[in-house]
Amino acid sequence: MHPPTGNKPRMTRIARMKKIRVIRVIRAICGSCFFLVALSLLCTSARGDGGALRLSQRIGGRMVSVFTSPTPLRAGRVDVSVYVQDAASADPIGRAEVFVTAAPLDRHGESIRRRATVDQATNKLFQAAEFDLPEAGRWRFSIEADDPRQPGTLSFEADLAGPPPRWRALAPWIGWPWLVIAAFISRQFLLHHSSNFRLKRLRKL
Amino acid sequence: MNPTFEAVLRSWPSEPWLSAALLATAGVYLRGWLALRGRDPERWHAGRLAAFMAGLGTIFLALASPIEPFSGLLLQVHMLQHLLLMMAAPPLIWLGAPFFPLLRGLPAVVRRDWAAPVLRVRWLRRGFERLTHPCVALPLFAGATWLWHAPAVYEAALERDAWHYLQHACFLATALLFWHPVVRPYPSRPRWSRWLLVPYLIAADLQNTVLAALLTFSGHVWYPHYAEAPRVAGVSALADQAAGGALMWAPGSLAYLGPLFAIGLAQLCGTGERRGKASDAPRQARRLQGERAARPKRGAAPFDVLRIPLLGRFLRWPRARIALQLPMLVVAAAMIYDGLRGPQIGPMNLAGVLPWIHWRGLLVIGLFAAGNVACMACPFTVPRRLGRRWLPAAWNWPRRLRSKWLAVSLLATFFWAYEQFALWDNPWRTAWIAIAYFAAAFVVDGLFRGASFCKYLCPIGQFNFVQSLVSPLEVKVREAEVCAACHTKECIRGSPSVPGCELQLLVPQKSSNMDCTFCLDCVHACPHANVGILAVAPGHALWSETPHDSLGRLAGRTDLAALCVVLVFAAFANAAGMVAPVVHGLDRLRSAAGPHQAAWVTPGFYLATLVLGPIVLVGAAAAFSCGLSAGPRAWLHTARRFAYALVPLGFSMWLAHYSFHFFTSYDAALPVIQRFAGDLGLPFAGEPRWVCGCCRPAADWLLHAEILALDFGLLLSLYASYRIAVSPSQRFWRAVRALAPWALLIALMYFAGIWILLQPMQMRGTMPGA
Repeated sequence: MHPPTGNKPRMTRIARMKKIRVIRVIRAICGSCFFLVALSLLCTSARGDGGALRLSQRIGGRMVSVFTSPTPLRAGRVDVSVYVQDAASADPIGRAEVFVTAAPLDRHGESIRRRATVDQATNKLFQAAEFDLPEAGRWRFSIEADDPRQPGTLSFEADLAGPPPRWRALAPWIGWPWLVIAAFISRQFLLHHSSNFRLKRLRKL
Repeated sequence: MNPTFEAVLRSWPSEPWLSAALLATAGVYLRGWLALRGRDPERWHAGRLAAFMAGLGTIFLALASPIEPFSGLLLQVHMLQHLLLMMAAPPLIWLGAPFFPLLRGLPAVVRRDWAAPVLRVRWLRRGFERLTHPCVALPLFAGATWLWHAPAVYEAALERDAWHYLQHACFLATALLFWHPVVRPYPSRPRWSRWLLVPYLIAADLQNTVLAALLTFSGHVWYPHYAEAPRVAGVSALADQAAGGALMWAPGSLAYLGPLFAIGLAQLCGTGERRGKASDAPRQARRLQGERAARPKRGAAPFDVLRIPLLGRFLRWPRARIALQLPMLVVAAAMIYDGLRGPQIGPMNLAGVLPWIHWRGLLVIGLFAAGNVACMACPFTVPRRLGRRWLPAAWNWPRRLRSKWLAVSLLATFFWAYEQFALWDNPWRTAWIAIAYFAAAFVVDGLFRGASFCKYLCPIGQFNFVQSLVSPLEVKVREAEVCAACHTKECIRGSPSVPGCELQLLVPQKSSNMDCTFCLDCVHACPHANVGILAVAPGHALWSETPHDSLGRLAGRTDLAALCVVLVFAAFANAAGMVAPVVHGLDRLRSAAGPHQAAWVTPGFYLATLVLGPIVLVGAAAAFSCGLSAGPRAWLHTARRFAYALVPLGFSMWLAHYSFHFFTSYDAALPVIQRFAGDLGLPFAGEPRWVCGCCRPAADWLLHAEILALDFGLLLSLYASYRIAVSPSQRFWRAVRALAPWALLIALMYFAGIWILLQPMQMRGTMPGA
C-alpha cells in the first residue's frame, strides 16, 4: 500500500481519454457555432429595422406609420417599414395587406411595387419591403394598406442621395488587414524599444 | 396571446458580428478558466465562470434581443438597454476576474508574443490604473451618462446608426472603468481604502437620481423622436418617459446601493480584503509567463486526418488512391468522348464545363481546406501502371532536365494557350489536351523510373505543389524518434507489397508539401504506422531555413523560385484577362494593331505579365532590398529567398477567382449531364434544364469571401516576407529595410487583386442570360 502523499491522484488513462473526448465534443460544438456565425457574417442582412419615421397618418380605421432606412436615404438598398395599428385600440394589425410603391419623380422610369411583409422586418410589429432603387433624385413612396372597409393610400416624397461609393461598403473587408498590420508594427516597435526583447527574441516567433 | 407581446417575442435582430465577438470571447475565457482551475480550483471557482458568461449574456441581451428593435419605439425599453450595458454587464464581467483567464485562453503564440509584450508596457499599465482611479472613473461615467441623455445628442443616436453604436460603446467603456474599483477584480491590488467607495457610490447614485427625477417629473417629452413615434400598447410618450425615468431611478439606485451595503458590511465585519491573495498576482503572472519553460513539453499530438474514424480507415486502405482515381478516370473518359463527339459549344459540353468550372474550383478549395487532394485523385497516373507493364521503365530521367524549368515553360505555355485558343469554349481542343496528358504520363512513366512525369513535367502537378505550400495539412512523420530508430526506410524504398515514395521524398526529412502528390504510398509502406496527414501552420515552409529533403534549400533553387513567381503572376494575369477593362483594352489593341499583328496581342500580354513583369518587379524589389539593407547576400539570392513569400497572395487570388466561377455556375453541369445521358440513350436523367447552365449574378457574400481570401493572402505573404527578412540579419533596422520593398510589392499586388475582383468578370463556360 502506498503511503498517502497529499497529492491529487493521477488521472487514469480511461478518465483522461474521457476528458479528451468531452473537450473534443465541446470544441466541435463551439467550432460549429463559430463557423455558422462566421458564415452569416459574409451575408448582408436584408431585414428592415425601422429607421427614421417618415409619416404617421390615419387611413380609415387604421393608423399607419412609415419608417425608412438608411438615414439619409440613398440610392441602392432602401427599406420601408410600415406599422399598421387599429386606430381605436392601438393594437397592431400584423396581417394587413400592405403594398409599397416607389416611383421616380424627376425622370421617366418604371415604378417599383413591393409587398411589405412581417418576415422581412426585424421588429415584428412592422411589415417591411426592401427596394433596390437605381438612381438618386426625388422619389414618391406610396403605401396601400388594404382595408376591405375603407381602402386608402398615403404617400410621401423623399430625396435620395447618390449611392455610397462601393469602397465604403467594402471598407471593413479591405481595411481590417491594415489594422492587423498596424498592430503588428506597433508590437515590433514596442519589442525593439524594450530592453528585454531584442531581435533574438523576435526570431523565436 | 397579446399581439404586441407576441411581436416582442419574435423580434430578434441579426447581429452576427456581435455574436461572433461574444462567442470568441466566451471561448477564450472558458479555455483559460479550465486551465487555471486545474491548478487552483479554489480561486477559479465556478462562480467566476458563471459571472463572466452572465456578463457576456447581458451584453447580448441588450444589443441582440428584442430590446434593440423596440428601443426606437419606447424610451423605457431604451432605458432598460442602457441599464443592462451600464449597471449589469460591467460588474458581472469584472466578477469573472477576466484578466488571467482571457490571457491564458489565448493560443500560446499570441499570449507569449503578442499579449505579454503589450501588457509589459509601463505607460499602458499606468494609463489603465489612472483611468480606473475613482477620481477619474466617476466623472467619466457621470459625464457619459449626462452627455448622452442631452436631447440633441440622444436624438442623433436615435437617427444615425453610427452614433447609436458610439453611444453604446461609450456607456459600456465608462461603466467598465466605473465598476472596476468597486469590484476590484483579481489581480488588481488595493490602492486605497475600501471606505472611499462609500462616497464614490453615493455620488454615482446621486447623479443618477437627479437625472432620473428630471425625466420622471418632466412636463414635456424630452426627445421628439418618441413624441412622433407610433404608440405601442397605448402608452403615451409622456408616460413612457416617466416609466423610463422610474426605471433609471429605482433599479439604478439598487445597483449602486447594493454594493454599497455589501462593502460597508464587509468593512465593518473586517472581511474586506485579503492582501495576501492579491499579492499573489505578480507570482501568478510570472508563472503564466514562464509556464511553458518550466513545464516539460507535453506530447500534444497534432490533428491527424488518418485518425478520423471512417475517413482515416479509408485512407489507410492500400487501394484508397485507386478508389479515388477510378471515378475520376470515368469522368475524364466521358469528358473526352463528349469533347470529341458532342456539341462544340462550351456550356453544352462536358469538356467545356467540368474542367473549366468545377474541377478548377474544387481543386483550389481542396488545396485551401486540406492539401494536394487533386493529385491524390489524379486520373492521368492510372494508365502509367499499364505503361510500366508494356514499356521498360528502366531509364533515369536526364540529369539536365532534373529541375522545374521544363515545367515552368509548360505552365506559361498552358496559360497562354488557354487564352489564345479560348479553351473554355473549345471542347474538342480540351479533349485533345486530356488525351495528350494521358499519353505523356503513359510514355514518360513507362520509359523512366519513378514518377518523373509528376515531378518534372506535369503543369497541374506543379500548380498543386506550389499552392499546397500554404495548405493546412501535410504528409509527415508522427514521431521523429521512431524514424531515427528505423533502418529499413520502407517509406522510400518500399516493401514487397507497397512501393515507396516514387518522388524520392524521404518522409522524416520532408518539411513541406512541395513535390508531394499525397499518394500515401509512404503511409501504406511504413511498418511502424508512423506517417500521418498532420495539421501544420499554413505557409511555414516558405520561411523555413531547413533543407527540403530532395529539394535542398529553397533559397538555392532558382527554378523553384521562378515556378512560384510565374504562378503568382499568372493568378493575376489569368483573372485580369477576364475582366471587362482588360478585355476591352486588349480588343482595342488588336484593332489598332491591324489584322496581321493582332495575333501577337495575347502572346504579348502573357509575355508581359508572366515573364517581363515578374523580372522587372521582383528584380527591382530584390535590388532595393539588397541596396537598402546593405546585406551581404547577392541580389539573386535575395530574389530567390523572397519569391516564396508571394505564394500566399498568389494562391488567394487563384482561390478567389476559381471559387467565383464555381459558386456562380456550380449547377451548370446538370443540364450538360442530362444532355450527355440523353445522347447515350439513357433517358433517366430527363430533359436538360438549360436554365441551370446560365450563370447567376454574384451574391454579396461571394465578393466578401473573395476579398477575405485576398486579405488572408496579404497577411500571410507579409508575414512570410517579414520572417525571411528577419532570419539572416541580426539588426532590426536592417531587417526592416530589407523587408520594405517586398512589402510594397505585396501591397501593390493586393490592391491590383482588389481592383480585379471589383470589375465585371466574363462568365466563361456558361450561357449568357439570367
